[in-house]
Amino acid sequence: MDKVEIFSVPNITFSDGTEFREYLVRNYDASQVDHELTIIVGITKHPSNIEFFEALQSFGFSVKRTLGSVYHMEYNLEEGALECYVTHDNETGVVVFYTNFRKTEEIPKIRDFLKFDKNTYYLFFKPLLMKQISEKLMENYQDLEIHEFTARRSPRSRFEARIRPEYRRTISYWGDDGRETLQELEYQYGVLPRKFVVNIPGIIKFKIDEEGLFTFFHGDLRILFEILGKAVNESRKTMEAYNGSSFRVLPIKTAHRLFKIPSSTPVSIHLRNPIAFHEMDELKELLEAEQYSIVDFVAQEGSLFLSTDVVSKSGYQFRIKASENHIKMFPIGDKNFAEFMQFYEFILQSVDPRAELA
Amino acid sequence: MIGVGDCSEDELNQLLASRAGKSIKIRIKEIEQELQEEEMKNFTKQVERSGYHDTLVDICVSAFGPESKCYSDLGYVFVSCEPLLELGVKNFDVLIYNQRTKHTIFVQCKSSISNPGKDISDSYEAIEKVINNKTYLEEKLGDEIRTIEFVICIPAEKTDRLVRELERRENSGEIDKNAEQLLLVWQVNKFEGQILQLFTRINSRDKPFKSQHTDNKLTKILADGIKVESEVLVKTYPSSHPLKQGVKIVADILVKNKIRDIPLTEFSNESVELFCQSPTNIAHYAYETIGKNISDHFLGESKALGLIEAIEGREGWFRFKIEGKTIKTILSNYQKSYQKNFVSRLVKEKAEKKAVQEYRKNYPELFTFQGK
Repeated sequence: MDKVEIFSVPNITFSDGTEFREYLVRNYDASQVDHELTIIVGITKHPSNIEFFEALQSFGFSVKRTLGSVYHMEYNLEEGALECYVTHDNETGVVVFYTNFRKTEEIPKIRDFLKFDKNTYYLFFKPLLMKQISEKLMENYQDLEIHEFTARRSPRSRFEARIRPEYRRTISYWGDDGRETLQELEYQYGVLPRKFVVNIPGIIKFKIDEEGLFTFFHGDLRILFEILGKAVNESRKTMEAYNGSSFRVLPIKTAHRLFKIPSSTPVSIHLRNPIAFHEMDELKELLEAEQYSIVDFVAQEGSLFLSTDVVSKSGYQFRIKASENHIKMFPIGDKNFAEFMQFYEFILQSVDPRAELA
Repeated sequence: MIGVGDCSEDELNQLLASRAGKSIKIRIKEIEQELQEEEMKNFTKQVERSGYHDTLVDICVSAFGPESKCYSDLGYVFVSCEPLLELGVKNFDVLIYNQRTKHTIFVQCKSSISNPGKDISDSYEAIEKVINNKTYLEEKLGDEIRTIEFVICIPAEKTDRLVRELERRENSGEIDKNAEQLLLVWQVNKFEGQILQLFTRINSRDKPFKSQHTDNKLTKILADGIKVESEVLVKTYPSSHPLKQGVKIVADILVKNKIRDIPLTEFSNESVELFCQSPTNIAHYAYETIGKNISDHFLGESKALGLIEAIEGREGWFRFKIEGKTIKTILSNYQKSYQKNFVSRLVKEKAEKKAVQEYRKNYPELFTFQGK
């Protein structure tokens, strides 16, 4: 197997991730490195740098160099090793991995970590955010080209579609007229982009994927980092909502006895596409398709009242309660950030692409 | 002579062994087929009703949870579900206590009001039991009970019907409207933010305060309506439908086995008891006794319905006799198998009884003879 060299960064000290990105804008030269630069964005609930990097190390990563707030890390594979630069922003919980190693060979280890660590998850770009990003880019750059994209329509999407709106669909497209085709397909089939390759001649070529993944081919990194900034801003809401939820067993005392009462405060997801009682069987099917087990499902018609316990594939339990316009996720026992993100992603992908954390 | 309606196993066996045995067997099969669909529907309805009831109790309990406004501002807090259940008497669903004032509120939840008169009578019967067992309750609560209020809590859309019947009974004198303990009414709107509200206008009462709580501050909060935010998440209630209890127990077993990375379908009776006797899973002051009953019922019924079997050579260990390799399929198949096997058993019992009754009716002389 060919040995890949990580793009070089001298032994200097960066005070934070922003400074590192500024350095890359000025100094990263795509023509001088193997393969494309891949930027993977995650979000973590580890309370500080120390805990986050400890989690990375317990997964198998080791620190090769410390460049202030930037960690040059390594993961030994059977053949060769993966190297990357990692930053963690204490305030937002956003973690960013930068590497020019290969997507199919080495990078999956980073993705594995984001799935494995219960306090970390990839930063999922909401379908509506992906649409806004593509529209904004098209508006700002008249000569922008899209060479490939994948777009999807979720089963309950209320985005307008002229052709068979009731069907869920995924469309992948390769072609130099991708920009026009994406707009046409959005209009006709009501699909939303989930990943696309953008080329702004003479400025930048990159790929963005809703699973917090950027691929930079060449050009000016600034545009890509502006988009990253938008996604990070969105993540603040996610973090706030998660932090507002809790599960506690609280003591209630009388003169001679102590009662332990379990109390749970939910994360509330506001639905812009209201759900109705007659859609409950569909919701059950969607949950089960994502390997969620339904325990004790109660649905009542009034407008809608739904209550059920849910067990995820990995065995995490929580309760959901829903009305027409809200789905609330109640932790039962210890909170789990990755499970919360996964469930929120499920709501966005399968129930309502325009859902918002309340 | 054996009374009509009774049907002992001996009697059935005698008939089956007689010359009429073959035709009885055929008749039993016919009746089973007739009953199957209807009993499946009945079972589904019972489980549904239990769910509606439990979710109504959830809201009542949560409105007085340890993170609620009622607790933080006024000191009223939920301490136990189904007080007095362990004595086998008519009981309320929720016990709320105020440690500062030593005031208790007992709440009866009714998710459907098909017979409002009976619901009201049940509540008054339960009131009597509480009053008779005040000392016992104080011991369980670990504190003094100075004052008591009783509430019936119903879905908001059913309030009119219940209140009309309550007024009729109070006006007709069936209920003494000057009695010290008058039933108060709470209504819950499940659909609009789970709001619990005190119903303040029971027209049969001469003074408005008789439809209200003695604590004016509590009346004010409840009359405005409480929106439930944080919830008390108990796993199951003692009187929930056994299938609902069972599925929670099975989920707990599967999840723990998965986390421990041991065979998903094997479990010990200790693990079932541990779940059922947890004060946070079953929020009852007598959680050990009540939990043991639930655990014994789960194991007994699961064996009887062929859902579990003992593991040879490992005392107190069982395995599910249910297909599936993942939590999702095992849980789903447990629910389906429970329903199917439970209904089959019920249908068989009913069919046998009916077949014997029919035979008795057609050949009374034979029964007179056999019964002697």
